Amino acid sequence: MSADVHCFQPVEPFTIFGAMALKKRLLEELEAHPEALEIDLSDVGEIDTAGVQLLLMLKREAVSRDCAITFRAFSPQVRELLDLFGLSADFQNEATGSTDTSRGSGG
Amino acid sequence: MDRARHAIVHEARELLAIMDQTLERVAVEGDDTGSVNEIFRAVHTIKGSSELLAFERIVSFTHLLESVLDSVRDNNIELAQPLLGLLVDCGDYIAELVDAIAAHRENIEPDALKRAELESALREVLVEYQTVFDDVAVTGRVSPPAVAPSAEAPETGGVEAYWRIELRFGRDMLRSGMDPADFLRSLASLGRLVEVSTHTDDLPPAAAMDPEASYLAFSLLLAADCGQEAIDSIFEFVRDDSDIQVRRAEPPPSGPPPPKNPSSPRSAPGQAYVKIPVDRLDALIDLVGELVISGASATQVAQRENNPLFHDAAQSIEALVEQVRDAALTLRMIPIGEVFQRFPRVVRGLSRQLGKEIRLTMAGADTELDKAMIEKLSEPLMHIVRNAADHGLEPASERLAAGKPAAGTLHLRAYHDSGSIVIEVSDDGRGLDYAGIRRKAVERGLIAAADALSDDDASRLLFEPGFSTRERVTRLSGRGVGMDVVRQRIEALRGEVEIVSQPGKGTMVRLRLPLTLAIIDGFLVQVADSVFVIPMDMMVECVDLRNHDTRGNVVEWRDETLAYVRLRDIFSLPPAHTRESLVVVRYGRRQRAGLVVDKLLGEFQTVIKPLGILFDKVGSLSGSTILGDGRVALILDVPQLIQRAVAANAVHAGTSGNGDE
Repeated sequence: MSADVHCFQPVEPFTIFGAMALKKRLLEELEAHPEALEIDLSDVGEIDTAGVQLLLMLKREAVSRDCAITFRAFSPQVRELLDLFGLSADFQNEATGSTDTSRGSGG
Repeated sequence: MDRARHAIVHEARELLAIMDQTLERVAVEGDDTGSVNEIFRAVHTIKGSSELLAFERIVSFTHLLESVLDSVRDNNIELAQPLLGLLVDCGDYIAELVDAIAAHRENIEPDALKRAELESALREVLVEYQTVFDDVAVTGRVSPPAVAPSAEAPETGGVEAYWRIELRFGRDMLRSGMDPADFLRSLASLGRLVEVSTHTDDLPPAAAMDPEASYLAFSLLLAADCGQEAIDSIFEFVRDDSDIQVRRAEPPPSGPPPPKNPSSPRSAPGQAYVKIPVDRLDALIDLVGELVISGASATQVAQRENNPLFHDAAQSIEALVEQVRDAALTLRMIPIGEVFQRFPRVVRGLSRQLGKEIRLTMAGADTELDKAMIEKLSEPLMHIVRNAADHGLEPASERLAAGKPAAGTLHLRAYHDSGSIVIEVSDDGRGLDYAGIRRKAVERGLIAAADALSDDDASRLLFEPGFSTRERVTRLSGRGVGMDVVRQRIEALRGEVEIVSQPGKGTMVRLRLPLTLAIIDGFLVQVADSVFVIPMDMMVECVDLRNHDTRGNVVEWRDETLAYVRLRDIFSLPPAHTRESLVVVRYGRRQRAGLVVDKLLGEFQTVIKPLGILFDKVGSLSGSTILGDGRVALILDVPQLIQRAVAANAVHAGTSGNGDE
């Protein structure tokens, strides 16, 4: 959460309906911030399996490009689905992704 | 077992809401004698019910909290900060524990760290106040914050069977509107998902990945007291395209045994309410929908028969059907207070976070609307409130300089207005910066530098996706953070959003929504052989086009220049042979436009059937319905249609529509 890491905070639903646009968007963010990128999921109100697949894709792609990617501040919906899939650990970084109060302004 | 679980979750959530309200009241009005008792009762009841099903995590936590409350009560200690804040946090944590139970994950501590913090804070309070209370009883029975999920499982009844389930769904699963997650949830509702592993091997590299294809596979271990048919039936419709394997399995060697079967949960004594599962209500409303459709077709037949007795009978049945429909719909109506009650806390949180003093007032919390809507409303509302607090309200210094009280005010208000519900979120902040909006609109090339931009049009620009995206990322101040998403959500509910603002005085966001999603009053129109439904509340007037000049895609109507669209052009229908009519429709509050159709067929009460995902891209339709004679009619999404018309008109005429007063 250091000040120089770019934080992307998507607000659009992570669902099949916007999956095309979202994939593009996520990869653009990755393109624009090749060293480190932080994804703040606190505003993601809806997520389905398509959304989870995109998160997995983004993470893999980031790792393969040596980009330090962090996911943080899961919204309850994101957390619920990752828990259901047993994938929470895959998106947990050194800090536990606490859901509230961590949504300060990224500057 | 599942029913008991639901009952407990439901009850606990109700009690937590009461606790929340009480704490809120104390925070605002100060302590009164009954408050502690009320909170104590809530916590105590949650504990009692949880004990029945042996939800140990919640029992031990509420037990400690109960001890603190007891001690507060016995010592006549006044409820004030910081204790008040601690109690609120504890309530929040109990809510998390309850959520875990609802998700069948009660064996996993939602947030062990937070729990440890809360527990130590609670113990400190106890030590501080401890006089009468026997401390040993407390510390002796409180289990440490458990991290290992298998630590404390109660002895088992052992009637459940274990099933090993392998799921590999078809690639087109998601595209055809089904979500693998829903199948996991359905399985979880049969019993308990002991193990879930998600296989991501099929997921191709980013470049090759089709975001709409389904790539994940799952291996599950389900503990459930059910037969194989129950599991098979979940996959009935996807079996052909997917690889689904279900077989009996041995219980896992070290896994936590299932909780023992409880006797049925205590029923509340002397209650005037019956709790009904939502899905039963939904099934009833579906049936009523079918009844409305069949009723309409019977009435049509009756009208054709020349038999007065038949006619009378049909008419009285129709009247009854209408009553049944209304009664059924009210069953699903709940007060919007369910959403509102969360806001005091949200606002307090925002106030702390932003360092602004914010007063929240609410009115009309008992205004009722469809439960399905309430669920979908809470998020957009949250967004609007956050926006208002963040961008609408100025910092205290700026407010004082402007001669306003230091504390900003947010006002939430709901009321019924001619068949819709209206929800307003207003602030007494700085108002919209119209000049700034104009500047940005020019920068982005949305308008030309020389164009006039009315305040109304400026407010509307805030809902444009392009307008907000950049702001969100760079977090420049100014409104527009995700307002496009708010609009999308509201329009998906067949509602409208508008912003009214007075510079220096404040801003109001107004949502106007239909009362229910299930039925609309529609107006039938015909183009060629196709029948369309226009929602009645969008209709303004019907006009004969004969005496009008229709060149240039505009028509003069009551001193206004209306843009219009021909439905036949939009839906590629064969050319007209008859005289055409114009239906004037409104969108937003003041904007109007025209739809050109062949025939006006009259009013029709319409049960909305959702369209499949296939129609998602069409954009001009919001649903379909079945007419009395069995034909299908498409329900028009008027705002979408009009936006096209206005856009086309703006290109031709170079004006920005007709939104002036």
